Amino acid sequence: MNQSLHSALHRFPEIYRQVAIDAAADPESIENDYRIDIETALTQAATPFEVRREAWQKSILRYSLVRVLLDDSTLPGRCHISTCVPPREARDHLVHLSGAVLQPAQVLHVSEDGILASVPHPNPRLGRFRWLFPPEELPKDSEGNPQAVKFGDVLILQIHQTGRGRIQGIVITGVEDGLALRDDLPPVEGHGLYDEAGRLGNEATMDEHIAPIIAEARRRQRSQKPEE
Amino acid sequence: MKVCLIDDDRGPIDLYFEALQRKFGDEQVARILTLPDAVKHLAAVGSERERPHDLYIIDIMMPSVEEQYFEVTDEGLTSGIFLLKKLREAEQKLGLQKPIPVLMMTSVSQPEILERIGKATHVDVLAKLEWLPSELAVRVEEDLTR
Repeated sequence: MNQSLHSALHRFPEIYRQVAIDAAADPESIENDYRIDIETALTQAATPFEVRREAWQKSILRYSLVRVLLDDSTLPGRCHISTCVPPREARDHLVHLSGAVLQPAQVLHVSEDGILASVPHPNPRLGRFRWLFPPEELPKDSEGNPQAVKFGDVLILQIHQTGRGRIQGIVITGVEDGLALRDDLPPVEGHGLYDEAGRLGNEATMDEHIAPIIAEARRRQRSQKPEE
Repeated sequence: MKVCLIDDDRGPIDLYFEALQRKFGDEQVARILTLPDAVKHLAAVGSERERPHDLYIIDIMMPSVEEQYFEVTDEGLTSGIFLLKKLREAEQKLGLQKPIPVLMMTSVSQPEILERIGKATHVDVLAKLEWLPSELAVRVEEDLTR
C-alpha cells in the first residue's frame, strides 16, 4: 500500500485534533515533545517494521503539522497561495477539498468577510492576516449565499501546484465541532459566512474569530486531564 | 559531497537529512532549501564553478514566485522536473559519461501520478513518509554504488 503523507493523514485523522489541542495547551514545548516522539519511534529496533513505520508516520505528521501551526514563516507573503495559484482558481477548488494535506503550508481562516490567508493558531503574535478571497470572490450558491465553507472553519491548506491549481487541504472546524476533522466541504445552505449575530464586513475582528476556537481547544484539554 | 537534498520541506526531510548524515558523515550531505538556490547551484555546476554532487534527491514541487523555474507537466507545474532538466543539461556541458543518480521525492500519494512522473523523468519517484529515514539512507547508498 502506498502510504505517503496524503494517505497517512487519512489513516490518522485524530492527529489533527490532537495537534490543535496540544498546540493550544503548550505552544512552548510541544514541538520539542513531538520531536522526541519521532526519535522514540525510530529507535524501537525490536518493534516489528510495520508497527515502527506507522509510529514514524504518526509522529512525523504531528511534528510537521505543529511546526506549521507555530512557525512564524507561515505569515503572509511567504505562503504558497499568494505566490502560486491565482485566487480565482484556488477559490474554485475550495468547493472540492477532499481532506488531504500534502505539506501544510498555510493556515486560513474563514470569516464573514471572506477567507483569510492567515495564521489563526494559539500563538497570538501571529495574528496578522490579509484577505485571500474578498467577499465578492467567494463562491455563491443559487441564492447568492457564500457556500462550501462556513463561519468558524479553519482551513489548513497546501497549494501544491500552479497552473492547474490543485489545492489539497483539510478543514478543522472550530466553533461548532470542537476541532474535529471534517473530511469534505459540503455546501452550507443558508448559512453563509456570517457570524451568529449576522454581522458582516469588518465588525468582527480576527481575535473574535479565533478566540472561541482556542478557548474550545483549551477547555477540551482541561477536560481531558484527570482531576487533581 | 556525496548527496544533495533539494527540498523546502522542514518536516520529514529534516529526519531524512539527519539519517543521511549519519550514514555518510555530516560533510558528505548538502541541503538546498529554496528553488532559486537550487537553480543557482545547477547553473554553477554547468559552468564548472561548482562540482556536482554524486546523487541528488529532489522534491518534485517547491514553491517560488518565479514561474520560469517550473516545468509544465500533466500534473501541473513542477519545479523538480525543471531542476532535473537543468542537471541533465549541466551533465552534457561537463561531458559526463553517465547521468548523476537522482531520486525524486514527493508528498503526492497517488501511485499513478508517481508512475507517470517516473516514466517521464526516468528516475525513481519516492513518496515521502513511505520511507523510514534509515531506509532512505540505505537506498541512497545502493544507488551510489550501482
